[in-house]
Order: sequence, then structure tokens, then C-alpha cells
Amino acid sequence: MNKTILSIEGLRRSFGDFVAIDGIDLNLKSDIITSIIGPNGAGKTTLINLITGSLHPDRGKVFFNGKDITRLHTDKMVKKRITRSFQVMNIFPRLTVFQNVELPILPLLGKSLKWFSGIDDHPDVTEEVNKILEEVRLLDKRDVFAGELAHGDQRLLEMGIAIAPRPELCFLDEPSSGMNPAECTRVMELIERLAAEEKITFIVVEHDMNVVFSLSDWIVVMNRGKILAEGEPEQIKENKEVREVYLGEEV
Amino acid sequence: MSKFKELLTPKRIPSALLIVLAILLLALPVFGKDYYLYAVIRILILALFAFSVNLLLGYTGLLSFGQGAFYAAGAFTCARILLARPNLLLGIICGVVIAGAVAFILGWFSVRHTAMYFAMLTLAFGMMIFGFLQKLKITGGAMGLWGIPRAPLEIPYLFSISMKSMSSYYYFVLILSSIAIFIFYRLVHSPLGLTFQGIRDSESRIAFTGISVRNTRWLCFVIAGMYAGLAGALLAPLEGAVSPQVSHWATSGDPVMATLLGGMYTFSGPIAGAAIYFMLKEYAVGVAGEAMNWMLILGAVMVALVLGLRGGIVGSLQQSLFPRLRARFAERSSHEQNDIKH
Repeated sequence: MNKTILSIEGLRRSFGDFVAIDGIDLNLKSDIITSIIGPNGAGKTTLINLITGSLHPDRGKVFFNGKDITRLHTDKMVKKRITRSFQVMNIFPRLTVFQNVELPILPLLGKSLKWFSGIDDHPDVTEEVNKILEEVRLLDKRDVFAGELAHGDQRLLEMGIAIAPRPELCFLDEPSSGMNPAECTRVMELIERLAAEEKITFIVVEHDMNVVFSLSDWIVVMNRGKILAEGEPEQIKENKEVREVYLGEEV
Repeated sequence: MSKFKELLTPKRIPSALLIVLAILLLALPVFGKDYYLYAVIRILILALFAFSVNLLLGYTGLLSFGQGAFYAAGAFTCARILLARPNLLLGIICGVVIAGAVAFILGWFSVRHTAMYFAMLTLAFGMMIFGFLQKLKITGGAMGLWGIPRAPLEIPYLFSISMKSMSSYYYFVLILSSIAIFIFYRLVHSPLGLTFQGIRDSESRIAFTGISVRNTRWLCFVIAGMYAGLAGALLAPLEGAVSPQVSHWATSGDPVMATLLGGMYTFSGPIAGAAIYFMLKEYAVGVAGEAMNWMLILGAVMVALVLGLRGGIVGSLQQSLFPRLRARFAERSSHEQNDIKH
């Protein structure tokens, strides 16, 4: 029986008169892949931003493993082993692939404030970075500047940065956006492998319904800042309300 | 000659240039006039000042127009100490510490903001310090401090070296600057330096690596303040006088220009930029004759250089000349190997 990893109680956030998240209650289980879907403007990314501390809610609470993490600062989130990737590509373009992954490893090993030793003087850091690069299949490109990578590789690198702190819970905001089918398959395989081998609980926001239904163990459907439905992929496919919201769309 | 060519691989060129430069600088007092020594000292001071700007701008992505405040803190503290107790080392250490302390206080407010807000805040703080110094009695008010002695370098009961001659002060500044530059090199190539660069590239991304962006920026601001303080502390005994003008925003603009000119994403850019900016300014002042006309000449040359060499002088060399040299070297090596085979 999977435990509840994330609980949300009455979460609300508005921007002026527009209510982006309207009193959401949600419980999500650990060790599975959950997808959050919904039409544009449903509030999916805002929900992730509120959970991960990028935005603060007007009211409501967020609990991670039973502990209140509402309004916790983003750097403290990582210490609680919660990480994320972003909807718009967010990597360190002027740094090499190796350095991109090195950045989250340094604080993990308590070395981010070392100011006189060389970057390559820490074998434990190098070993850990190589492991992550191996996992995301980018070891052969370790010395390439991140800004010079192909789009698909940049997405993989972003995932590498997100999983480098060895998270328990990882949010992925549209991991397959802008990818061709082959790259998309690579990312899906990676997510499935990491979930199975590294026991990372993934919460994925995704628009591509093929990705959602082949990847997810649980799906949450949002509409206009509220939860419309949640359930296993087959249940969501059969849900009448979901079909109405997605009328003419892929579901 | 062929042996020399073999030794001088593209990778070794920077080291070779550094050795030649070190020999020239060490030998300069033997054949150079005092003015040349003075010029090199001013270049080194501007380079340290530019390092302060570049740590914030090139490495952390923060444009500060208020580094003059810390430059002034270093200069006035050193001047005050030397006037009260003539000990050069004490004056310089106090100058660096007080500049760091001022940066610690102003940084707390400044690093909460980024981009234009940060630039404007630092500019405003710089002008506030300028206003303060105009009124403050301990710093000599609008006239500043005069008659600052170039005190001996001494540790009581151990040694005392006179700094009266320009050559002895030149060697002192050269050694101290080399140490400061070496420390800077280690810093920017360390995990902390990489963290600064991560903040520059993506603040939102690095926040999700477990690093406190605000505290790290604050630390960077203090280190940058100390470098500006060191530059200011070295200036006071050289000139023998310090006026509030050192904290003016126009003074803060000098290292920004030197950094842009040399290349803000490069380690040696601020040094090259400081040398070229200083020489350009001296040349422009010499050519212009009439007061203020030099600004017109300098401005025009600067616009041409900044627009023509995007990435600065060192940055442009790294992007265009060095790859070409490397390619030519690789081509030559392959030809030589083919010749051997034949």
C-alpha cells in the first residue's frame, strides 16, 4: 500500500480578480507516476508553483510526508528532497553539461561554499555527476556547453539537474514539450526507469495525451482552478465530465 | 627554432605570455621612469577595482554602479589609519575590512533585488556615500584628506621596509595585486565560483538545487566590496590624497567600462580592460589639450571598441583568434606526422 506523499488542503491563489487555484484538496500517493492534465489556463503550472514555493498561496496548506511545507523557501524544498523541472527550458546555458549537474550535487555534498579548492578537486562530486549523466545518457556530452545542446538533450539535461539532488518527489512541467517522437520516447523511458529504480515519485504536467496515458499510474484532471476528476487512466478515459472538457481533443 | 615551435603549443601560449609579462613587470623599475611605475600601479588598482565589478557582473549577473562606495571606504580608511599610525599593512588591512563591512550592510538591502533595481539601488547607495563623505569631518569633508604618508611596510620588532621610493611601492603593489589576482582565480574556479555562475545563468533554476540565492549573492557582494576596498586602500598612499570624488558614480563607471572593454565573461578581461582603458584615457587627455575634450575622444573610441568587439578584447580573442591558432597548430602537426611517415 503506497503512503500519501503529498496532501493539499483548501489551496487558493488569485491574481487580481482572476482565481487561478480555487480551493483545491488533493492527496497523492508515493512511488507512482501521477499526471496532472487540463486545458490551457486550468492552473496546472500555478499548482506546481504553489506546492514548490515558487508562488505563495492566498490560503490553504501543503503537506509533504505529513509535514507542513506551505510557504517553504525553494532552497529548503530541495533539502526536503522535493525538486522540479520547468515548463520553459531552464538550464545553465553558459556552463558545460557536467557543471550543470555539478551545481545541484555540490550543496548535496556540502561543498557549494568551498572557495579555494578547484572545481575538479572533489572526486566524490565527480563520481556522483558522472552517475547522473550516465542515467540521463549524456555522459558523452559532458564537456559541451549546455546552450549548444540539441533541444531534446537540453530537456534530458534539465531532468538530470532535477534528479541530481536524489529527490523523493519530483515535479516535471511538460517534459516532452517541443520534442520529436523519438526524443519523447527517450524521456518517457527515462521517467519510468527512474521511478522504478530510484524510487522517485513523479508528478508530471503534460499536454501530450499519448505520453500521459502510457506513462501515468494516476491522473488528476484540472479545469478552471479546480480538480475536475482523478483516477486511474482507464477511469479518466471513461469519465464523462473529462470528455466534455476535452470535447474535440485527444481524450 | 623548430624545437621552440614544438614547445609553443596553443595551450602553452597563455602561460608563455604570463611569464614574459611577469619578467617585464619585475624588470620595469630597472629601465622605466617613475611615471611608468605609477601608470602600472594605477592599472593594477583599476584591475582590482574591475575584478570587483566583474565578480558581480560577469560571474553573478549583477550590474553594480555603486562599487565606488567600497573603493572610497577602502581609500578613506587606509588614509585615516596612515595619518594616525604610519603602518602600510595595517592601513590596507583595515581598508579591506571596513569596505567589506560597508558591503555587508549595503548588500543586505541590495541583493534582495536584481537587474535594473539592483543597479539603481547600488547607484543610489553610492551617491548617498558620496553625499556623506562631503559632510563627514573625519574624512575631511568636501576637500577630503591630504598629506597621506606612504608609510613603511612593517611588522613591529620583525621588519620595516621604506615605501618612499616609487619602485618599492611598485613592487609592494605588484606582489599584493598578484596575490589578490591568484585568490580571485582560485575563487572563480572553485565550487563557490561555479555557484555564482549558476546564479548568473538561471536564478530560478539554481534555487531548486538547494542553494540560497540571496545569501550567495550577499556573499558575492561582500567579496566584491573587499576587492574594491583593496583597490581604494592601495590608491590612498600612492596619491597622498583622497577626495569624496572616489565614491562618485563616475568613478564606479571606470571599472564597468574596463570590464566591458576587456571582456566580462573572461578571467583576464578586467586586467586587459584596465590597461587599455587607462592608456586610452591618458592618451585622450594628452591629445585633447583642453579640459573635458578628452571625454569626447575616449567616448568615441569606447563606443567603437565595445560595438566592434562584442565580448570584449579578451573574449573576442578567445572566440576568434585562439580557435584559429589551435586549428592551424593541429593542421601543422598532422602535416609533420605525414612527412615523417613518408
